[in-house]
Amino acid sequence: MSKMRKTLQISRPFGKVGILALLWLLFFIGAAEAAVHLKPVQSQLLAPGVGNPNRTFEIQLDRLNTRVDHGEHIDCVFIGSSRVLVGLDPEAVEKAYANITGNDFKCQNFGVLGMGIQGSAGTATMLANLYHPRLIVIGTNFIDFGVGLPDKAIVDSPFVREHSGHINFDGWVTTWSLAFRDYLAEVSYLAIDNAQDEYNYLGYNITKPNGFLPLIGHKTDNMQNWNNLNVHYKITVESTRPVKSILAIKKGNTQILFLEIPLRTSTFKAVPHAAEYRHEFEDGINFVLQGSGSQIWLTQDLNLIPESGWIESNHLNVDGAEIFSKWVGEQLGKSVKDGSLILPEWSQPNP
Amino acid sequence: MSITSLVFAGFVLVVLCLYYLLPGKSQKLLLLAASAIFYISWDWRFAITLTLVIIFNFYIGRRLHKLRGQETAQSAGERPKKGKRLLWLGIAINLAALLFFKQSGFFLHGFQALLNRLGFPNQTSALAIILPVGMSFYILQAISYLVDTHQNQIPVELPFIDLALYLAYFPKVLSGPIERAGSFLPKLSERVVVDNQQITESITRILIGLVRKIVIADVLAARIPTNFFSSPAKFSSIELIFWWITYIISLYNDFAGYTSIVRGVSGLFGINLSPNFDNPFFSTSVTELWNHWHMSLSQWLRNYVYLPLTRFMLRFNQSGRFLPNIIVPALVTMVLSGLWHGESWNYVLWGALMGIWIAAERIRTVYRPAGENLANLPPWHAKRIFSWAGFLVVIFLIAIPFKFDIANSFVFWRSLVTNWFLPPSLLGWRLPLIAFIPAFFIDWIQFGKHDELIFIRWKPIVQSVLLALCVLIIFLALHAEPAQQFIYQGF
Repeated sequence: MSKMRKTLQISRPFGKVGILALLWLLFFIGAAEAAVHLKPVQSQLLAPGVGNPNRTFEIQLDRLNTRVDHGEHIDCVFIGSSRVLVGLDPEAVEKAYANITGNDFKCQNFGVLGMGIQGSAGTATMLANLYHPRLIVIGTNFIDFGVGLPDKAIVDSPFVREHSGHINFDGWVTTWSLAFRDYLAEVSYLAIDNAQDEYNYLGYNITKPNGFLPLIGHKTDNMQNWNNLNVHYKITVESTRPVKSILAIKKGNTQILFLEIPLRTSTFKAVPHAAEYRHEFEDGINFVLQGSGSQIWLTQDLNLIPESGWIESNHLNVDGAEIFSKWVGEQLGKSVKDGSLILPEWSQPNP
Repeated sequence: MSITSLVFAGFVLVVLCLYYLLPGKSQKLLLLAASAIFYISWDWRFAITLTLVIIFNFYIGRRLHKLRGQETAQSAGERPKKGKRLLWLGIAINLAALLFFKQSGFFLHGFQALLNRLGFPNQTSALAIILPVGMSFYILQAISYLVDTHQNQIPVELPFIDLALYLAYFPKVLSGPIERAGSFLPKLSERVVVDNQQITESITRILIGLVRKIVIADVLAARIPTNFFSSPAKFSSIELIFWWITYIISLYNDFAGYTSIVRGVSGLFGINLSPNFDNPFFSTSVTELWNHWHMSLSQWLRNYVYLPLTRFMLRFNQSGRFLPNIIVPALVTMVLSGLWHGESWNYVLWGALMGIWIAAERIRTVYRPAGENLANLPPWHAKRIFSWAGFLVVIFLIAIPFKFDIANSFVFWRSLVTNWFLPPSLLGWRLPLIAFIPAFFIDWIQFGKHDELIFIRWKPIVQSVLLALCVLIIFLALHAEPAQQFIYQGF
């Protein structure tokens, strides 16, 4: 075997193609960014994505962004699952609030399909950091504390992490590049392989600009899907941890309110141990909220919703949502008026 | 540590810096240490198996070398029986080790079936053995080392570090290329000068590999319906064709991408690894395909199985037209190739089909007068296009047991005939069709000029645009689909 010799011999010019490529790269990125900011181009594209596996989340974020971009001050955001998405009409809340207080109160619905308490916590932190609403209402009930809900992916997505205090490259790019956000939406759309998913993906067309999804109709109660779910809703120390992280937001300039979203009476017959879970939910939340200055409004026992107000076992139809939202708006107005709910002054959102 | 991860990129950069700072003699030690760290990062237990294989083969190799010296000194005519016995012992133990890890599932499955019949269900799960990653590759190289030593193709007694690097060198330890000892070992000492050209070529290989893996293979693999391989009967004939082509293109780009990346990485150290692919889908016969697909395995099988077996067969009948002399070596070689790929019967069927077809092609060339050489015709010539289309149909059909189990292979073949009237679902085709564009572009350009690095012969301005686009689409593709493991790491 022969002796070793010097094997690295770099000579000039070196890296000319690389430097040129870098310039091209900047040009391509700039051109794409400029193109997607043109209205004719933007009108042809889907609502931008943020790389979140839950498309409703992306649509709701786009709805909120659009309103903020149009200069609206969002005072209040409702966060929660599909029960919030279809059960709280911001317009009805605003009207009822204004009737009591005489003041304007802009609300946005940020209900997301399949989002439990963990997803709500991450979303609330993100929205508080980005938009500084005066009030965040977490719409929830014991079902959101169920084991095995697929909402961890929502909080693990880079964009949510970026705006919840965990700086990361993907989240940074998503925040600053509209072209990248448009790409994420388009590529997720292209990945759809069946008509049902496509319908769901494009379903944002029926969501109002304030994030509310009105459902029309009334179905007789069908509990089949509940019996098939192998989930328990036991409230534990672990499952209430997201509630604590939501309360941490209060240190900023945002008030937090928990609101129980009611369930159809028959749900309590169909879900084994439902009454017990609901009781645990009430006790568990009250225990965590002790001394925090935040409160929970329990609604299940108020029997606010008539039978005609349900679309099925646990979702309100547009009539039920109207009744419930009006009640929420009135309660908010009264509480603010009598000082039992203190709302901070409005502050500028992040650019 | 996946080779497409940023961790691996950082690891290579650190090793490169240290490599060029250290004096020549220490460089090998550094490469060995880096290889150990890299391999342990997969699983430290795998490293024990690899170390034992290195020590065992080092010992056998040294004995073979000594015996060869003694035999030469004694008499040139005397048959070197002792050496041959030792060689066979070494080969047998290497193969036994591979069989132990690789085929244990195959035998355990049968053993469990027997136990089930006897009323003892689920007894063998405790015996499950994990195949150390890369073992299928380094065992073949160990055999190559022993044979080459025995055949005097490695003239000097090999230092331990050289053998260890030959088997464990980190760019190739996971999935090859399967280097022949006689050709790889000199590269360790006679490394090529890493100048601007070598760096450009290496980085180009890495980029081509990343595009193949991330932009093509991963995107395609993620889009194949999850029930495609388990329930082919549910798909229309058109869908069966489309998704099977998608799988084959994904498989090819996955492995070709891997090979390209590791060749690029190794090139930065001045060690050029052998190519594994040469635009295989532009072949016009199955025999030609195997000269262009996983070439290092094909060459190993040819050198150490096919040719020795053919020579053995010729002892009994020296006619090259004698059918068993044509059929048996091809069949045995391809069945062994199947068993190397996996421990189930579908691989045996796949190997047998390949072997039979290769034998048929050989019989045709032996018995029919030599026709026009297709390679001399232009690519657009009708004869060549017909031949190419015929090859694609054949390879499409006989490759099916490579991925489908035996029952589903038959279901696939049957459904292909019967399901023409099922309505296809075309929505899911959009992303694969987009990913086919770079897949076809890379191969077409490379094949057109018979140059895998044709891109660096283009004008610098075009190169720079291409480089920028590569970086951009790799970044975008990384955010389109979750990363997939390299398929050949499973073999």
